[in-house]
Amino acid sequence: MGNSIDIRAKRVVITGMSAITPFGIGVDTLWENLVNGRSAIRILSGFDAYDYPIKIGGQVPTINYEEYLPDLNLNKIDPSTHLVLTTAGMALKKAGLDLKEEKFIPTIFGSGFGPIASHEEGYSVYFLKGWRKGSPQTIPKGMYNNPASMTSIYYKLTGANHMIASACASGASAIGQAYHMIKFGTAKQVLTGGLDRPLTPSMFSAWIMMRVLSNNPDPQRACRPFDKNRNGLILSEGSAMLLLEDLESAKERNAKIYGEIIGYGASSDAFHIAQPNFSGEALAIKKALEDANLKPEDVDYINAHGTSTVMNDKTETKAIKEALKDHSYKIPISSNKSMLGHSMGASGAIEAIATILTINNSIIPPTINYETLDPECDLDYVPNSARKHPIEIALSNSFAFGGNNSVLIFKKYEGGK
Amino acid sequence: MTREEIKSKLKDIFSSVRTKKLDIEIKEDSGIVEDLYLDSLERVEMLFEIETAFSISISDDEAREFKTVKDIIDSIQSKVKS
Repeated sequence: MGNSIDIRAKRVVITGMSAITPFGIGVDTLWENLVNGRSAIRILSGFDAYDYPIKIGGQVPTINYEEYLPDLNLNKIDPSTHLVLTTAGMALKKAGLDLKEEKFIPTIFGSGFGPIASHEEGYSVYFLKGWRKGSPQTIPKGMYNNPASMTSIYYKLTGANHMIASACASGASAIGQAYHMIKFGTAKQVLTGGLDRPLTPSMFSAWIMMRVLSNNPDPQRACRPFDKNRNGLILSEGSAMLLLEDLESAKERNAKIYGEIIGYGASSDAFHIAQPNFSGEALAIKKALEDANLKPEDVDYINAHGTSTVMNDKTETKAIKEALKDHSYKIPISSNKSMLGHSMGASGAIEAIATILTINNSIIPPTINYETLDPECDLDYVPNSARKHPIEIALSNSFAFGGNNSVLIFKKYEGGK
Repeated sequence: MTREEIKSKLKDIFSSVRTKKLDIEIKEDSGIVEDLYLDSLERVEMLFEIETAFSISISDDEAREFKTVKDIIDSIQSKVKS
């Protein structure tokens, strides 16, 4: 048989997790804040919001990256890659892997905008000072694959390094692709996740012009998914990484297993570049259930996309009802974005980790700022306080501009089974 | 501008263009590739930084002849003087 690929589907487990979110560094910090229903949204600092009518967002706190990446010249790396290299290192360490040794691990990351700050910087020099002042680093620093490539180089990971762009679903799409790589035997371990840092002056202004951001000036209360008075999303930033692993490989090396991925469904609305469509979203949920060989009744919880825009939340509600039928009224659904804001490509990965922690702790983080019932959003959104609830199987929805829908299904991992 | 002044500026430029931090002693006979460990992209960036810092211009043909720190200092000195 030699090294030929074994075509039997493999079970895919999570053996490493890390996150940098607007709550700070680490998975424990993320969980503690989510379960206590705290908002990470603040008045923006660090860049001049000029006369922007919206001044709130979810920024990651100032981090001394030198501490995590002591041997790198950080000025030469895009700020999004600072985040990624740090979270990647933490995830690999958490998985018990030697950071110095070369390993065949693909790096499959999702991002809506990639190293956008370097683009902004490059264009700014070009337009203000002329082309002769452009830096030779503009291309390597700003190319879209930089975060995955730098991670591969820095940690000596010799599997394919790819970036996946499916806007706000990018993190979940990347995890889905990584899950397939392990399931179908092309890798035993994959480092995957998502990242985005869209809080740059020009990118933020472009979001304002699109009129999808909430203009509620109260940072803590502006994000209110599924509430009748919701009026837009809150832009935020972050990065989260997971090490996915073939169950047999994880068992062989006695790795700690945090959970299992048993399904992935993806679809395209084939409808509109920005407007969501419930049937496309429902199709992704159905495809994920098919992949996991589950019935709607098997689902215990949904980590919603729940952005707090008028359109998303009512469309997502309709999609859940379309896919899960009557069962959709019987299960809790909550939005982590009510507390974290929308970190674009990072959100699917952060929410994947939050879903695993929700399963393992049997506690559902709430949807905060929920006050008024919207007749078009009539499911159980776990309003305002966390709820104890046993969960075996959970869905995590990510729906995006471009009609991208990615749905992951996680299952509680019980040792030995 | 003295050779020492140029060398001191160059030292800052070499550190700023290198992705990995390295503490390297810079001498006039240090080889750009073998002693300073500057890869091809870092050398391109180095030229850009030298042109900016000293307000001079270095052609691709000239740059190809740079083997040691001495070659760079000679070139800078000749241009800054003239």
